Amino acid sequence: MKQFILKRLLQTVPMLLLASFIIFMLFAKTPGDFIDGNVTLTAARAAELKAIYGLDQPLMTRYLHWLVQLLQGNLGFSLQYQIPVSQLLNQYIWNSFLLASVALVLYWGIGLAVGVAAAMKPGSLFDHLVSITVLAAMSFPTFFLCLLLIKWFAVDLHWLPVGGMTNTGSDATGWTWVLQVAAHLALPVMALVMLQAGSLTRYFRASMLEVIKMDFIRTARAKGLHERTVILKHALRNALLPIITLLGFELPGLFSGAIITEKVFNWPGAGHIQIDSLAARDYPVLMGFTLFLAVLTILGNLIADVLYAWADPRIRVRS
Amino acid sequence: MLHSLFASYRRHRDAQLNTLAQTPPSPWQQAWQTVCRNYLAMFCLLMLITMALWCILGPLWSPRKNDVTDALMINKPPGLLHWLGTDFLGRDVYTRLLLAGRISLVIGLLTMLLSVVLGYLLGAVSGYFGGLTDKLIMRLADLVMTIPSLPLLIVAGAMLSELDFSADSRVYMVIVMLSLLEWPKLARLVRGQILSLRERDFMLATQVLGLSARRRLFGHLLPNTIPLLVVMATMAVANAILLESALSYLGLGVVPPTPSWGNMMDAANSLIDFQRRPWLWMPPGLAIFTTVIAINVLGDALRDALDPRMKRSIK
Repeated sequence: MKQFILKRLLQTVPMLLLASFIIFMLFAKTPGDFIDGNVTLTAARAAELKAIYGLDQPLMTRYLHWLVQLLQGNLGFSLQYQIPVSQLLNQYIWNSFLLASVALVLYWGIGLAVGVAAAMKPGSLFDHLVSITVLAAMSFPTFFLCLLLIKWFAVDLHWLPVGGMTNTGSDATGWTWVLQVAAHLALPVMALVMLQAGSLTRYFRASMLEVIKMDFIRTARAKGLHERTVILKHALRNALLPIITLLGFELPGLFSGAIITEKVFNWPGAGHIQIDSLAARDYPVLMGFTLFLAVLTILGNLIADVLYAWADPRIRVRS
Repeated sequence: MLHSLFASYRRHRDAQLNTLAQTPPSPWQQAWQTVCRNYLAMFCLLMLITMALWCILGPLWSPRKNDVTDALMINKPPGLLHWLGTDFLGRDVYTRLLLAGRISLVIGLLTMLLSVVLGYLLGAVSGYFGGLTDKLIMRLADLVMTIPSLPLLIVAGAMLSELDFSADSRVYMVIVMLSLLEWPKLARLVRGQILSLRERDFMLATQVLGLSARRRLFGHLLPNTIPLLVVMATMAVANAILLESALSYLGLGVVPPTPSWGNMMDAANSLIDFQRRPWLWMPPGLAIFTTVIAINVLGDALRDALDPRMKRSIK
């Protein structure tokens, strides 16, 4: 097991290097930068600024410099906000994390419950209803769903706030703050859950169906066990195996910020920062953040593999 | 007496021959019959065909031939003259919706074609040859999947804006962008399928029979991946339409004046249009939703019909 993890960790090193190179080149080659975007600067001042930020150096030198800084834990310096990128991310990422984690718990719960229930009676009316609903939810463009939710619940019914994280100009603390954030959280969470629960429900249903037709389930039933025990104890445990890996893949999503959802709901999260930095051509922020996400993705894959090996002894033996 | 006995025997044999001569329907026919029996899927197929024809032919019959502007008819609500109202330049939303439909459907189909060709070829090569080729291709796929896709698309879209592509050629750039992101998923699936097929007994049998490599590959291995390919291709169209609309909504995909369902929804970004003029953003949103759900239902039905493993579990 330790060897397996070590081997996988070593494999990620070249991947990360390549990813960092591609990300750097992508942003470096994008025409225009933060200084070009400012039309009030004179040519001499622009050149001076470029020299200060090292933008006049050859590409490879800049890449190596960036890489060395990265290895020392320095993600870069935001040109727009004039603070280190890590500090900037730290301000916003946790808002995204709050939104994503609440949604994650909800849609995993819903996906599990509905998927298992649908698999228990395949072909029933409930099963058909679930699959139609799932398909419908998967077919919504993110922004359209968000807009509809705002229109219904915020504009027409006035139940929930339109967007943002707290009331405008509010400096509430303690429980009032918590309540305000919860009210603002409701709609974006609802949107995310509706968008994500569908595919998970399908996974759970398919995985359960696969397990239910296996011989040991027939044995359990033949022993005269309760149907509930058969499903929840014998079948579900085995059905969960392939799905555990999906949990690893969720890791980057927790921090990446749902760009479109956050934009529509004006949620001050990481997705917001990405759009904002792009508009201002604040490339150090985008580079640092994209690389951070790439690291999380690789880490998530690794966690998925390890979880799978941990949960399923057959995998462990083979590797 | 004897004659009649012979006659009855012959009749009996003829009847048997008849049944023997009737070959059972091929797997493809069986699958097609299964899909035909799924009324919901057939309805969705018909609806998709209708929508496509409508988008192609509709603008030809529309009273407003092109999306001309009309300064006197700005932001009018739906009425008899303009079925779905007009936008801030006085353009007819209904005509634009159909024109946008052409673009969105073309992007969906071409992206599917390009990404499936890329993904299938690379996946098949990787799965069949194995070794170093496999490693290289799969690492490349991993790499593309490692970099988060929406940020990547956003950067690529911003790059396109800087390079000043004309609005028309931008559509094709969007197609290339989306396909470059989509192929790794398809390649992985195809590779997995080929790896598992290669170990199956029927492939061993082709080897025992001494068939040439070409016949084994094109006659036996690849045809068995077609069902997966059909399902993947269907779902890829839906996915491409969704991605394009998201990108265009952010203003980084298809850009005005070329209409696409995504960039028509951009109207909802202004508060007044969003609250007071739902006819600007509701129709394109509904159009995307109906198209994508129809494709998804169809894809689901195809999967049920083509994938024997799923079929067994449904029973």
